[in-house]
Amino acid sequence: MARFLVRRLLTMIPVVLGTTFIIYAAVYALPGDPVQSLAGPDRAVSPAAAAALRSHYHLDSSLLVQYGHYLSGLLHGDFGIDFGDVPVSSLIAAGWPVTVRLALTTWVIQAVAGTGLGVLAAVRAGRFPDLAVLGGSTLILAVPYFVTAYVAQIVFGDRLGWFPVSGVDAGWPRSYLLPALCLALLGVPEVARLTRAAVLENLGAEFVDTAVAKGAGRIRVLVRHVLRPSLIPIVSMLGLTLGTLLSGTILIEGIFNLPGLGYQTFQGVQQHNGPVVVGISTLLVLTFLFINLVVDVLYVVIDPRIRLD
Amino acid sequence: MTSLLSAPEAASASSALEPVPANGPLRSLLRRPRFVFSAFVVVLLCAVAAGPGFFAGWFGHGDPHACDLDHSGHGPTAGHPFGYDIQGCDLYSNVIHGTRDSLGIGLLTTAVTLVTAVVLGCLAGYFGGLLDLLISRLMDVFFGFPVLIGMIVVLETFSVHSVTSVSLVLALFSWPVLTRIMRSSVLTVRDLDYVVAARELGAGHLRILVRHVIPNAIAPVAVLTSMSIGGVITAEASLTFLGVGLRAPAVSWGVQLNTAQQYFTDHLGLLLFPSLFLSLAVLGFVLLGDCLRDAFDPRLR
Amino acid sequence: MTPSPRPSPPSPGPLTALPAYDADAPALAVDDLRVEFPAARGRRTSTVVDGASFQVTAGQTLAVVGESGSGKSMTARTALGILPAGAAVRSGSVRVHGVDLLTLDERRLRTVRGRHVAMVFQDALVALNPVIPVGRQIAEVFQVHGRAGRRAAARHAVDLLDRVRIPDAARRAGHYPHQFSGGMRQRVVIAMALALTPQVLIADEPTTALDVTVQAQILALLQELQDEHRLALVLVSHDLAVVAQSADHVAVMYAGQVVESAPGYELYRRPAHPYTRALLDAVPRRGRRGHPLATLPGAPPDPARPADGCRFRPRCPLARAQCATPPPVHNVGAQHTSSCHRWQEVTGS
Repeated sequence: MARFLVRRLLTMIPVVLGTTFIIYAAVYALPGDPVQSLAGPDRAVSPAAAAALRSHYHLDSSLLVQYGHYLSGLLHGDFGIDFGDVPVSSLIAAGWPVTVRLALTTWVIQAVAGTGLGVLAAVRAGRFPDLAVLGGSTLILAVPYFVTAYVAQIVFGDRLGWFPVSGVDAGWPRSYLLPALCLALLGVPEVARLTRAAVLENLGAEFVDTAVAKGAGRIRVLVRHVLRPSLIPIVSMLGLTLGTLLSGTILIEGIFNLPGLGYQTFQGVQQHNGPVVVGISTLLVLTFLFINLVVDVLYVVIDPRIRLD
Repeated sequence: MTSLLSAPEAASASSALEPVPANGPLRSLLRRPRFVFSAFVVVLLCAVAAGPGFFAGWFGHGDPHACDLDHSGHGPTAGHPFGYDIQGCDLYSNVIHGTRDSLGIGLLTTAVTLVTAVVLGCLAGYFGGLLDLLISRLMDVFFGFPVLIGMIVVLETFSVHSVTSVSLVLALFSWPVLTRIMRSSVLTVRDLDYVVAARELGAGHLRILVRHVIPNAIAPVAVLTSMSIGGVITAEASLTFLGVGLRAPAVSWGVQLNTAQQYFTDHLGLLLFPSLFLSLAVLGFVLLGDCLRDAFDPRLR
Repeated sequence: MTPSPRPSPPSPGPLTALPAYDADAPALAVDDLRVEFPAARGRRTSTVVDGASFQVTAGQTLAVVGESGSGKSMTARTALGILPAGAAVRSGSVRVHGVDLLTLDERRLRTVRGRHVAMVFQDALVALNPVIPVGRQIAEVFQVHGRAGRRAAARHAVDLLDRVRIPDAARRAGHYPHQFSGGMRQRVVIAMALALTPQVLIADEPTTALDVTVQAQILALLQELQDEHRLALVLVSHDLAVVAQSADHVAVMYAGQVVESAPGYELYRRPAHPYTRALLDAVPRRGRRGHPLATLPGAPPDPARPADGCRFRPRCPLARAQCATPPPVHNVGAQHTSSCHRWQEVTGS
């Protein structure tokens, strides 16, 4: 296990370097003035702010030196400064609890609804519940989730008044439930389809007959001999949806005014505050890489068939 | 106008007939309501994209730029079935004209992605070695970005937000998925007997790739293109809605949603009508892709 | 029964409580069993088991032999009520000591499975759950029948692995199926089937997936365990050579029907059905060196479109006009029956 971990961590290094370099190159190495491109064409940057950015990012040095400074900054938790000389890391510190709450709520909804619907569809394969799940998931995939979010906000928030439409003043879970439901729509169809396929495959497996031949009851057969082996692909899929979910928070937090990392990014785009967008995106990329690492390790832990050498 | 209308229909009809190995899959496809519906939607939208003026004029107000601020945000009236947008322009005509850019980005991005995937997939899968290592590591790096995030960063710093530039950025982050599939497909074809035989007969690499490897390895990637178009259209709409994607004077559905985002609560139509077209387009391409995959790639059944 | 050293002696079990229970009745008696896949969209009714009958008593081995598709596995599965989706029992009975399992409800049937009738499947790799250690899978048998708690069940599982001669059983109990060799895996499945000392053990092609040398070891192990526990053993096989001499009785199945039934040595010596004869001719034997092995041309009939009369007629070298009527069951000798109009020519030739 230790050797696997070390090897997995080693393969992560080029990926971390690669992703951060792409971000860095896109922002600071494209032709033109990086400060102006971060601000967008319509915004005048004060000379003081421009000077602060230049010195913070060492924009006068050569590209590799710049990248080196930038990378060592990342390692020290420095995600850059915005046009008001506010460190992005302080925005991150203020925003992450909201985003983590939203992401975890969404993730739980996704896991429960996705696997539940997938199992239902598999057990009733070819009949109404199955067709409903398949059809419903296609429809959900077709409607962009930010559209669903606006409709939900208008219908359940404004018109029916069931949920707050903006901010986190009502606390968890009231303020988070509606955004989390909308965000969960991104992952539920995928999780449900994968669960369906995995459960269907295992339902036809011979070890299920073995379990029945032992005299095991229906519930026991379903849980231990059908769901348990299906869990392996499902868990890895659930891990990977966390990545989709991270980017989803940008639009959802923007629409519901939840003051998290996504909201900061959303505002950053709207107000042409480029360094904030780049800094937080970098954090999200690193988080995603970390999640992938955890998923891989988990995969090895729950699937005894994978050999570690 | 009629020539513009018939062109895409003829084109898609012939392209649908061509790759069919036997008559079987197509005939069974035509019996499926899912396929007929999605093919109809896709063909119709392509026609709209090719000649928006024809469709926009159906209710007598075809000019998307004929605006009157007095009508700002008004609901549907006679001759204006979708009502007016915030600038007081006819919403129906705008939504119709938005088809071209939305679909254009979907098609352009997918085309670039497909070509990249085939070229890099062949290089990595067929030649292997250092080239494979490099391409595979590069794919790993791009897989390291959560969906949309990389695109947001790159687009945020782009100064040009045209159909071409947005498509290129979308393609930059979409190629690894198809490339990975192409690579593994090439890997299985590479060692098949007739490819080995062709190599031993002294055929050149290019000839083997073009004549033997690509035709036999491309199916799993090709069947995903329709689904990919649907995904790209959604991605463009999300990015544009956020404010980093297309910008005026382009008129995609995302642009319309973006410019109206403060007014949704009071003018629901501004949200519903562009989204309706958007969703219909995505549904059409995704369903079509589903059917094509079922029909042509038995491995995935 | 031989006393068992394990803390789960063959206790009466739920079956004995039923009025039909009869300790003297055959351990397993299948009578006129008919299993079909009913007609569905674009599919005709397929009769996969068509009036099969046989029986086996405690301590005896019955071999059920036939080509794939002859209905032998389907018959075996019916005895445990684990038919594939869509299959339905049309008529007949499957009696364990007089109790017809086909009349039991699902809950009662569950108490019979694993307890009175157990099964060894063909391919242990797919018959074992890949993500649960083998010890836990064996222990599960005790747990579902309420025969032991978690810890006691785990101990019994190790004992059982030891009894099927898996070395280092205590450690191996914690291993997963993929960590065992084919022969060892089949031993695990046998241990699982024997956990509660059932009266009837059905082994569905238990050695087909194994190497020849391992096959012999597994058959020997089954024989030994059978003697020890006076099991009624049903050995389902496509390979007459494997079973003919070790079985007390052989039932040959063709196209869902038992076409010949005889004691093992008798069948071997004096086959009375052309199909049995063809099977035996396909087996290499001493004393027939230099003769080419016979092969049986053609393929078994489609169960959705059976031939009229004798099912074997299209492939039979002896077929005559009379074979267009269904052959009756002829008594050929003691406990020896054949469903062939022309059985005398077969035995006489």
